[in-house]
Amino acid sequence: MAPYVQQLFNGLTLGSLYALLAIGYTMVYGILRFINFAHGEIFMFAGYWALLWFAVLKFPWWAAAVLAVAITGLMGVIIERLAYRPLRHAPRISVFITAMGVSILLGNTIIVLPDWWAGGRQKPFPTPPAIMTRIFQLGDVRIQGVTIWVPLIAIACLLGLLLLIYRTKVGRAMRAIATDLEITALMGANINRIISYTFLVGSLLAAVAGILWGCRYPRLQWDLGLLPGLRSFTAAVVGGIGNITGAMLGGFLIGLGEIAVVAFLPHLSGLRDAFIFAILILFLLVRPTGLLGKPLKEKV
Amino acid sequence: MKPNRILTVLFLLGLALFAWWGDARMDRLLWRILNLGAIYAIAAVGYTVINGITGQFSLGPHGFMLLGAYFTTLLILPLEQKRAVWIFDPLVPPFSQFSLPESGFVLALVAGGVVAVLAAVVVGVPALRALRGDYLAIATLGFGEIIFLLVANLRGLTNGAMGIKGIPFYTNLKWAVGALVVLTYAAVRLKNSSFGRALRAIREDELAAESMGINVFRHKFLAFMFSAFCAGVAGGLMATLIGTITPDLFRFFVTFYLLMIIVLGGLGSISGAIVGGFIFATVFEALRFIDTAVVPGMRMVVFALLLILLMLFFRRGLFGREEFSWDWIGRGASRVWRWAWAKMSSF
Repeated sequence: MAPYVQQLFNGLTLGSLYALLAIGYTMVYGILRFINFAHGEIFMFAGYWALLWFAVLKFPWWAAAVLAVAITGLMGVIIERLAYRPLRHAPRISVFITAMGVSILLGNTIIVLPDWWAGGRQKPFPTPPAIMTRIFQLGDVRIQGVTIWVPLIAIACLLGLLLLIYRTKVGRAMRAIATDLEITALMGANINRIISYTFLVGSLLAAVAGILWGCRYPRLQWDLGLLPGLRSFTAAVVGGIGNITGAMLGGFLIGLGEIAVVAFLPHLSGLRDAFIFAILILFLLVRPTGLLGKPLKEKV
Repeated sequence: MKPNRILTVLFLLGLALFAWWGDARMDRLLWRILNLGAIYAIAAVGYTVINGITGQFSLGPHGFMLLGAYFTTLLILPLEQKRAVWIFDPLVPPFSQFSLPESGFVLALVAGGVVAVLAAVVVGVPALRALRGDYLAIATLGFGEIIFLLVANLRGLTNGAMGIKGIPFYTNLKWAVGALVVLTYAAVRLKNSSFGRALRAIREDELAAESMGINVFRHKFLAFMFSAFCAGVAGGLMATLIGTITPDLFRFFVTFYLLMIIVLGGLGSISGAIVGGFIFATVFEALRFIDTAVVPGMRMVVFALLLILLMLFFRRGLFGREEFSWDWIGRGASRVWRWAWAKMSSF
């Protein structure tokens, strides 16, 4: 029994990280109908910002985390302003290519940054505060503190997000844009500001995920964003892209599934991403609207 | 014979002479750049047929190149080298039993292309039927990663992450440029046929094309197979140019290079893909100093910035959707001549 409980906690931890990341994909897709390919790199950058403030500049933990999250959120807004907004009326493929360019730019920027901060080699993430590393013992089940705190923090963020989306004016505007961008503009909403907010929120959540990821898997590398990014995108598709609760659900499902493969079929763990891509492709083919998404009719 | 056709024949003759001369006595660095340029151009021609002309955004060519590279290598690697490379997991038959001599190189290249096409059938039947736009892009990216994971894990066939060493250096300008000419010819014939017009109709408006009676799936599928074949051949040529392959040789960054090439040349222009391929190979080599003099990795930063700037300010590319033609050169030349004549007579 004990290993199952432990793996369940591992799965929930990974799943909550994917859920946080998947929100960013799904919000941007819901509003602008394009896949923000650079989202994974934003997540990766957050870990490096935390590393800079905490390990290099010796800030206290809480300050380093807050600063890292804030800077990463700002990065998302700036990227949207400089790279995506000028292409808002261009073909969607152009925006997608640009997003790929941004993704590769961010990843390789890490490589060229100086060694005391980043660089091409793996960097150890600083040891998180003691509360994260403590081990809780419940009978014969040993649970690391981090696998309790990460899901808790993630769930708190997700609840905050739901409040923002369903209980504030900005959130209402976001939902309105997702339904129809032009009509919302006609109603007097400032589209550009709302889209900036969307990128801000998505990047903030990605930043939280990035720092928590560092606490859970304390290694940073320049290409860290790619695979978690694609897995979270899969989570967003599984949940139904454009649907925020769906993205959360998909994130937890993908995280639990991945841990299940790694824990119970260890000889196949080298191919775990192949499974995830297979799930992605299967969903895209069989049920492109995901578990919770509504079918979209094509306009002629 | 029309004068344009004579010009084309003369050009091809000149190209053949140049390749023959280049293989014999060209400066090795320049020779290598030209080979790389031709290989990139081959892959880019195929890529622009599916991405630019048909408008179906695929992100999988690196997977097809990987397949082509490994299959060609499996066919032509000498037997004693095969015994030396596969130490931990022995190579599976039939590949452990035979190896093609150099005269079979063209066969091995075509076989590499065919294997890529087979993979494209597996990918394309579901993906092209159901997906388009950025969904198709992500799905093909996923397939490309699956191919990579399979190549990295099927050690009995690929020797896994350790890669394969000692591949004979068969690629030279005759082969690379020859393959480029043949595949370009095929692509141009494809583009200018009714088939190609149907592809462009699909790019402009899929629904309208379908209601005009075009079998959308069949057209997309054939364009996709053509692009996979080009990628497979390019992969095989690359393997026999470099001499060592690992699964990491064709990761996502290769698709990124190809995307840059066709965006620079003009999405949908075959001439643009070729010119872009050679420009890319040259610039990539010329900027090598950035990696050595500044910081390793800086070159990719520059290239990524370049791609973003291209998309923001120069989306048309060098050729737009136009193609090179002798008439085009003629018109340009006569315009320059008239301009110069007017300038001179005004003195």
